[in-house]
Amino acid sequence: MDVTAEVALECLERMVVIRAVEEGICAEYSNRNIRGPVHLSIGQEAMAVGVLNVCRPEDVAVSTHRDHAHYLAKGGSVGAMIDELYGLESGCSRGYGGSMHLFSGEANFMGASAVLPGSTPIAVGLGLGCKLDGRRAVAVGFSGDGASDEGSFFEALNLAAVLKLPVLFVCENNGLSTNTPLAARQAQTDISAKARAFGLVAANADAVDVFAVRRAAAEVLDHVRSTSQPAVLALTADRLCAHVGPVSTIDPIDTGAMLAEAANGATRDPIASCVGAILRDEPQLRGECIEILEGVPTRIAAEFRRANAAFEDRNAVAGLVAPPPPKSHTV
Amino acid sequence: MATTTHTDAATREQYLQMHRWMCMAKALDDRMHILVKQGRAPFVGSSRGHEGIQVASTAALGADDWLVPHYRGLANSIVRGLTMKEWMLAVFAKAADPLSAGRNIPGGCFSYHALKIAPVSQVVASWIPKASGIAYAAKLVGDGSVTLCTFGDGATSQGDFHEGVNFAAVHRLPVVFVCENNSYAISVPIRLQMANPDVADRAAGYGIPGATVDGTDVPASYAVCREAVDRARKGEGPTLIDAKVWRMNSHTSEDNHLKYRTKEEIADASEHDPIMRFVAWLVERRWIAAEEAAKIQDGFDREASDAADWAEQQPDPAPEDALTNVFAAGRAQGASV
Ligand SMILES: Cc1ncc(C[n+]2csc(CCOP(=O)(O)OP(=O)(O)O)c2C)c(N)n1
Ligand SMILES: Cc1ncc(C[n+]2csc(CCOP(=O)(O)OP(=O)(O)O)c2C)c(N)n1
Ligand SMILES: [Mg+2]
Ligand SMILES: [Mg+2]
Repeated sequence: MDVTAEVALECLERMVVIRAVEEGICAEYSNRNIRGPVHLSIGQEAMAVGVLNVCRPEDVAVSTHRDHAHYLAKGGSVGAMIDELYGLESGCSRGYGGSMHLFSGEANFMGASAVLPGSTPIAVGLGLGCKLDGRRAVAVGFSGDGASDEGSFFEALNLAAVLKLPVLFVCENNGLSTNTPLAARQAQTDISAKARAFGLVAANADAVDVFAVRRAAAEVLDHVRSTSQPAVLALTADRLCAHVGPVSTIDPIDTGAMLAEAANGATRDPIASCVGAILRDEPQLRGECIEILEGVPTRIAAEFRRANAAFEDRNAVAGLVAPPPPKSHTV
Repeated sequence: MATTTHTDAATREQYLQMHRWMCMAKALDDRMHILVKQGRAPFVGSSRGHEGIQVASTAALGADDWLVPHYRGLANSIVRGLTMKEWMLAVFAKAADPLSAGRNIPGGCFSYHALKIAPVSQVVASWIPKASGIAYAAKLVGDGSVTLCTFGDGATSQGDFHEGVNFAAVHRLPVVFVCENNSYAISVPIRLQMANPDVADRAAGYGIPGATVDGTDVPASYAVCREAVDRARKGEGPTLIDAKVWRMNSHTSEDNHLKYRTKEEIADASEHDPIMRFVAWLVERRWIAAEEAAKIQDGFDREASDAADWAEQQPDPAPEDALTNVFAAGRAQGASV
């Protein structure tokens, strides 16, 4: 690890928060108080956390349909996000947005667009704003590999390069657009190679390792900030969940199992990988790691209970929404 | 003036034919400018400066191949067989105009099924995915045809360019993409259009070969295009060619390039006339005498003038036919949709 113990634990905690919120969604979704499509980031948490950990609070970020991790890693409120999922007035988008439209003005998380490659051109506009304002802030646009199938992804890259804008395009390559593999969609699957042709600086990192992401991101961010020129960071990791819907393909966090998985050098779980790196280099932090793995999910579960109760109270009072069908009801 | 060493890709006869095609395009182009000044024709989008790459790329095709040209593709269309009279019918928007029967922008749209020239819209770059679609169909049907798709440097800033090239690359389609890079999109110079002016560099991002060529050098352009067409035909997929050219005139007759180009720059562009350069090359090889080349040009100039006078007298489209061939059958008369 090339980070302090404090930063290492911060990264771990942020990833566990994201995982626990999404596990909460999986657990709660069948009660039908949370509605609408949800795109989980399970397996990809290190992308958001590694990049945004080295961003400054004044940097602005924008995301896609898969926006939970970015919102949370940028510092969006956990409670306001969960309220948003329940459609509550106290939600981060006042309950009107839901999973794909998280927003936090205080955290400079400027929302998300589910229309591919929505966030990419928006990031260019945000970058232009940063430049015109004379802020030394950077705009960070997250997108999937599927976004790079879209023409406007390249329009955005080209314009950012021509106008010399401080934009970091983070391309989260999970190898799939819904269920279509990247190689069936593009003959050249290295997204950074495309970016270089436009004169952009580009870097790659394996996003199972949050510290590798952080390192690569720090380097490109430094370039973007000091030269006011855009860059692309291409990150690879597996999506350990369904494309859409509350379905994880790995087990919920369990401290014992996580510590065992942490010893597996070939793990694809970025949380296990992070715990493994910490325990290898700083074994004295074992207690702190366990505390995060146990404490965070407990706190998040309480947030879900609170939001769920508020949702049911509201419906009971307003009487506007039909009560949810019984839990056993199949659709 | 620079010449080239590529003499082996075509025969003397073929090169002399290319020269005649270029002269035909120039004759029509010059005549259109005169017609616009006289108030007889409404509009001209000039291909002056582009004739070298246009003739070279299209001459590399076979009769059953497809051309998907941009609005500047007059010389491409002439190589496919468009006659001077036919072109002038289009310029005057006459009923017998074979390109669009007088419906499309006069002198800016090429669409000729019998010559395998696909109809394109003037919406910049919109025809690039269509070219990939034609090539995809050719691959599915297995007819062995190759599609040549041409566009300007400005078109490469459109998402359609990326989607079209990416699709052709991943499916290894028989298509050749030629960017006629005149370093302007109307008044926008290339330095405001892209950070890296070499469009062929983007080929690496699509996993296909790219080539840069001086598009005013006919033998060099022909050699590069020939190779790309051969690759496509062998099933080895698309090629992206960046042909550098100089736009000798304003963007169109609706534009005045003196507003954004210096006199020196315009004078320099006219030094890069592909016809002058090609004639010098042919003369140097003693394949043509300078006087003979001038005579050929004079002959075509007269023919273009006669074609214009003739076309002007042809019938206009009938007003009652205005909607014919504009909407799909069954919809023209307000049929329910
Ligand atoms: C313009 C557009 N076309 C199609 C869709 C449907 N769609 C939603 S997500 C998705 C896959 C996106 O893949 P990628 O960008 O790799 O992101 P990932 O889901 O893998 O994170 C598609 C095709 C869309 N949202 N927008
Ligand atoms: C989508 C779209 N935007 C703008 C225009 C207006 N327009 C017509 S030609 C042109 C310039 C295109 O430049 P380039 O592709 O370099 O071709 P060139 O005319 O230089 O040969 C523009 C902007 C258009 N036709 N379509
Ligand atoms: Mg993906
Ligand atoms: Mg141009």
